[in-house]
Amino acid sequence: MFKHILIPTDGSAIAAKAVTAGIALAKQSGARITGFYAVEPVPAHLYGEGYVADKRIVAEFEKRQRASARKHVAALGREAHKAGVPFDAVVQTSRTPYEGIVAATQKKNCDLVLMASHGRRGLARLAIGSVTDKVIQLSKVPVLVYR
Amino acid sequence: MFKHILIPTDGSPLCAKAIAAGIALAKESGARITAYHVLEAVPARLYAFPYRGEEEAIAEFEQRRKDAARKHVADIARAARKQGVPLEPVVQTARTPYEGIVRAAHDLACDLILMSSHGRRGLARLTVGSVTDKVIQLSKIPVLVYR
Repeated sequence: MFKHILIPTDGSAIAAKAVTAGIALAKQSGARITGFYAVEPVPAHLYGEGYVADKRIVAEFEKRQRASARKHVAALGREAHKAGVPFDAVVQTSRTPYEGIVAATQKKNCDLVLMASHGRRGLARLAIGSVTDKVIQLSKVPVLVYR
Repeated sequence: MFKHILIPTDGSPLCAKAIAAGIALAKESGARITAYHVLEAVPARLYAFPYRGEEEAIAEFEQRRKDAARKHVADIARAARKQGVPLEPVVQTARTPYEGIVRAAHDLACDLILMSSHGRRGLARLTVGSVTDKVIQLSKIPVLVYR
């Protein structure tokens, strides 16, 4: 029933669980998968006093971030390939991960977002918040949440 | 990949979308459905001073709610039967809907909760909250959220 599943990953172990489930669901539904990793821009404090001139550090930081992102998405792609599920990788810079996820879902015409939730509760949820919760609030398509 | 899907309903039009999707997913997966409706305890203020002794009114209130709940789950059962998906209706009392949903998913050994979210944002989310968000925080199994 789903034809195109977006699976965002942050490279964490909890995301890996969602990946396995996502591939199984895609296989059952005959869907394809887009693996997504949102790269956040370099924190402003790296541009602050003391670092202001050192563009090289910022460039290096961004380069490594992207390399790490590609690595995580590629791992997802390998799993999908093994299961014979068509796969596409997207690594994108966005101000926050949830904005990137919602934008990618629209742009790629996905009909499901499948992601994990760290499931923070109480104070930690208020302070750190939940990317998944934000995605649910903003997404136009269904969101399947793994714990 | 899912074998037993719990679909909580509050009888709102928003739920209809989730129900239709749930039946389609169950059909594709060869799963069975438990349609679930929570009856919240009668608000304490109904027992307070000017109403004290109006046991008849409270009994009537509870009876009507139960009837409405049964009607909602019966509607879902009819839709599922049309698609040849096995469905069992459950109407249960719980302190809050999210507690009832999480407990039922556990007691009935479901492997997916499929529900809709009103998707309140900002202040409304802080004050009214989100049943779905609570379910995600507490559930041990995946939650598929429709908007």
